Amino acid sequence: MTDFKGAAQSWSLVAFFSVVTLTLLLCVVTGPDRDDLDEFYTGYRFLSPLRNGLAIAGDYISAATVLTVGGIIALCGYDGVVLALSTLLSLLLLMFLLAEPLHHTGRFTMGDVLARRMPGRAVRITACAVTLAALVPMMVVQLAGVGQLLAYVLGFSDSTMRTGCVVGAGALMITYAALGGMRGTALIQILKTVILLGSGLVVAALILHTFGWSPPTLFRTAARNSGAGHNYLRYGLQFAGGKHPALDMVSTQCAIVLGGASLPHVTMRMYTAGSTRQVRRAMSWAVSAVALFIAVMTVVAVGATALIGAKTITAADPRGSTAYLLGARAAFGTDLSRPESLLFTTVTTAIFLTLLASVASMTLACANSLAHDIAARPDTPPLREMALARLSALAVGIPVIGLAVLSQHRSLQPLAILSFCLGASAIAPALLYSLFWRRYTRAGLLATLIGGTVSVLVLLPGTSLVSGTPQSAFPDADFNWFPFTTTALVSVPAGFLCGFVATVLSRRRSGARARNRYESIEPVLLAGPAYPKNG
Amino acid sequence: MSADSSELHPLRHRPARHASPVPPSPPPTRQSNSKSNWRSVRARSWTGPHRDLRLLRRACRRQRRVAAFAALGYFAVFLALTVALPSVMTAPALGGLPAGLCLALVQLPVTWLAVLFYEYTARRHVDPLARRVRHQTQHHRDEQVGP
Repeated sequence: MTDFKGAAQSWSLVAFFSVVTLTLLLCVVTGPDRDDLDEFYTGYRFLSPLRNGLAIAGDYISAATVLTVGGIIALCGYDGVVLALSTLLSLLLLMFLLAEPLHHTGRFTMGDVLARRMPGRAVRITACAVTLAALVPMMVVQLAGVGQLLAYVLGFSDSTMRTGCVVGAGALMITYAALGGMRGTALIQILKTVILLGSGLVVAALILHTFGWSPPTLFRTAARNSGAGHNYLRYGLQFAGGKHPALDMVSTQCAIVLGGASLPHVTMRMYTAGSTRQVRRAMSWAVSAVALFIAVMTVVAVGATALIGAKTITAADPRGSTAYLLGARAAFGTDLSRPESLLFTTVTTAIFLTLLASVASMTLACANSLAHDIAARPDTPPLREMALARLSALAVGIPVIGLAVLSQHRSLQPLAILSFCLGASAIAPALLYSLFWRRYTRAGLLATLIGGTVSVLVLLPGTSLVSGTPQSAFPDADFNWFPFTTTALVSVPAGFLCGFVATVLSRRRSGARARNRYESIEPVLLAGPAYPKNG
Repeated sequence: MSADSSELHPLRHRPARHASPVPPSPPPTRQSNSKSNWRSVRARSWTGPHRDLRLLRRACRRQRRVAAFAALGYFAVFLALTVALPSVMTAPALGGLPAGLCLALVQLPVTWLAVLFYEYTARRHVDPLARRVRHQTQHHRDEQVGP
């Protein structure tokens, strides 16, 4: 019942190829005009709020979210649901706190926002380095996941084929980013969100129908089939092996809530809206879409456990990454009629498209930052800067493909956690301080970015995700000394503290300069630019 | 989340670095009475563009604080209850599901309501002020660019 044989496989293969062809065509057709830098970096001049919102949601729902969180919901129940909720909360906080100021002060990249407050090359270079450090691990995780997913759906176990899949998907992502720019990736993201939500809603409805439209029955059946009984519906399964399960859980939620939405590939979509009202409306659509998707994902993943049991899920993948697909497959019953197999193919295609699209927009975020913050000078002609951005996509993409090929057989969870922790400990404090604290100085900004990053990089290798347990990335070694699985509980305060201390210790004159600078940009920060953006 | 201490530690006034988008008033001429001039500048700062910016700052801060504390607060209380008082969260509630799971699932519609409420208050209380400040900035820029 859980394998994908015959018709479903060939359907999937056909669907994948048509999706690749279609999206490439879209990218080429809608690519930016030759010398319009704004168009390459921000996409459409006026993307309607609904479309922009769907693109933001598409950027935000990465494949790592669908596969990892889906697996945790299916296997750990309650803990997974809380994790999914904190993902949603992160986007909500982005909307409430940062979306509008980011839209008002930013132009193309995070470096622009920070440099608006503290001009200087050092700030831009550090911002770009942190962007790369936060996004490259996430890209590696997802690209390695492509190989795993295709091997699973198309049913081959050959290692060379898997490597081939990773390289092929990597080449695609570079093409999307380089040819399409923000415009092309926005279209792909919209397409992906629509397919993912549409197919997910149908599957969720089928699952709920199986259980008589009663969520309590669904959850109780899942608890019975999970092998954990009542513990499935209460906290503690996910961190049961740790020394401090409660603190570990708080630490993980902290990393997701602060880090999830402050990653640069999500914030870069804030710069593309036309006016303040549009950015707010776009975020409303994005939050609604993500909330809907989280409800769908919860039903599908819990349904997977209820229908086929936790043992079958762990047999397919020890961390349950395939739970979403398994749940969708189980919802259709044992024998697939033709419309059913078509629908199921839509689900696999949606996941495939999610993988491709989210890696592509992360590549684009890195490439934009490299080109705009480091390579280009203010007097660089637009045509040259665009060429630089395309080259940067290549320069980021090739090492990522190499890393993904090298690491595809290891546990990739630490890399995903690394991304979220960097977002929470370096990027979130830097953005919050520089947008809302008027005394914040350049030294403070650099200290936040560097201090937060270094604290994560120092602590993370000591966690049990990297070594010490059979599930860790290096199961044979044991240099595990840090008691939690995520570093956020220590590194987030470290990031905030570094910025605070460095600002307090900087000379009084630079503090006053920082305040004057803040006062000069405050009207724009609060009210928005006098002329509509991109207009 | 903003740490604005400008009211506690007012910055020494410097004519060149004016917070308002409107150009600073011309320096007092020798003929005029310096005291009355001081008064007029002072009076203007309480009613003119300074006031708009201050009102906008206050409205934005209030909006941000209420929204962020409500969202974060709910989740923090929920998480704290989950971790510290598992007995409360496992007590059966609606339909035989544990209370914790019910509270978790309720968050989805609550999020949606929060978004609607945020949009409504922002449109009602922040946007008009922002428009006024923006208008002044534009006016000021036009004056500078023009003759």
